[in-house]
Amino acid sequence: MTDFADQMRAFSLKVETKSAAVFANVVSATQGSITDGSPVTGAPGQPVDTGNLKASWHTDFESPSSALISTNVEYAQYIEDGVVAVGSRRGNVTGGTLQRLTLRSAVGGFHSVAQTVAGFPAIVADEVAKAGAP
Amino acid sequence: MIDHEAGHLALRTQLVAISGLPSARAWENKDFTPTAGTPYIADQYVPATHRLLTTMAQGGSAVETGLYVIQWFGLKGSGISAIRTGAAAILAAFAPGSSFATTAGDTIRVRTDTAPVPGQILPLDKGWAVCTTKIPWQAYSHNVVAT
Repeated sequence: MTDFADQMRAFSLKVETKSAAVFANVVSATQGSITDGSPVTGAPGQPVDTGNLKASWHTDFESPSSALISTNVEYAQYIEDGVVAVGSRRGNVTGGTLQRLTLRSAVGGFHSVAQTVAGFPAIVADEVAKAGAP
Repeated sequence: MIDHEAGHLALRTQLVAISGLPSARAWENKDFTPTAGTPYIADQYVPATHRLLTTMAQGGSAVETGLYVIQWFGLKGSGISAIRTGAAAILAAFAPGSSFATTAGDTIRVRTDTAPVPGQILPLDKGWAVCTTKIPWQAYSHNVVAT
């Protein structure tokens, strides 16, 4: 009986350890999908001009099972949606007639956050598969 | 692999059927010059993933996903009503689970595990404001391996 209880405790510990690792890997893969792009989600990653936006994304672990991935760059939503931000030099370059951004960066693209959100179940499935059975 | 041009056109057909849509349209990769004071619609078709579901590569089932991005460019400083009404009409036309047959014989479905969402109304320069609605779609196809 003691053997069985010990085995159950060991198994439970193994599951908890693996769950924590999977969670950390899911968070890392999610941020990576937003910033660098991901074949799992199809997100292109952040386009780079100065690199300010891409470098601004960061993760705060709010609890052992909750994380917040965010940026405080004010034009982030404009890049996500592919539109010219208020007062941006890109707006001036286009003479103010165009509201949509032209992608000039060799890397990244628009809608990376949306693609990552849409692909989140695939990220989880991918990381669980990588972790294997407990 | 599905025919993406046909997929895009099927989604666009659903879009243009919406009552009250601005008559000015900035379609993807087409030249367009907006007229000051006249709202317009823009669309983008963004394929994302393509995954084989079965072990039989030749003729196996595959699923593709992507986004259909619709942007409603309204007038800055005119309140939220017109733009939000438009965004609500778009959401109603692309409810989760809706399916659209393409001329190529494929079927594009609005995903149900993640739903279409309208974004924040963003102020732009030169009298514009935009609301971006992103519609996640998926489509099943039969895999074809070149021989």
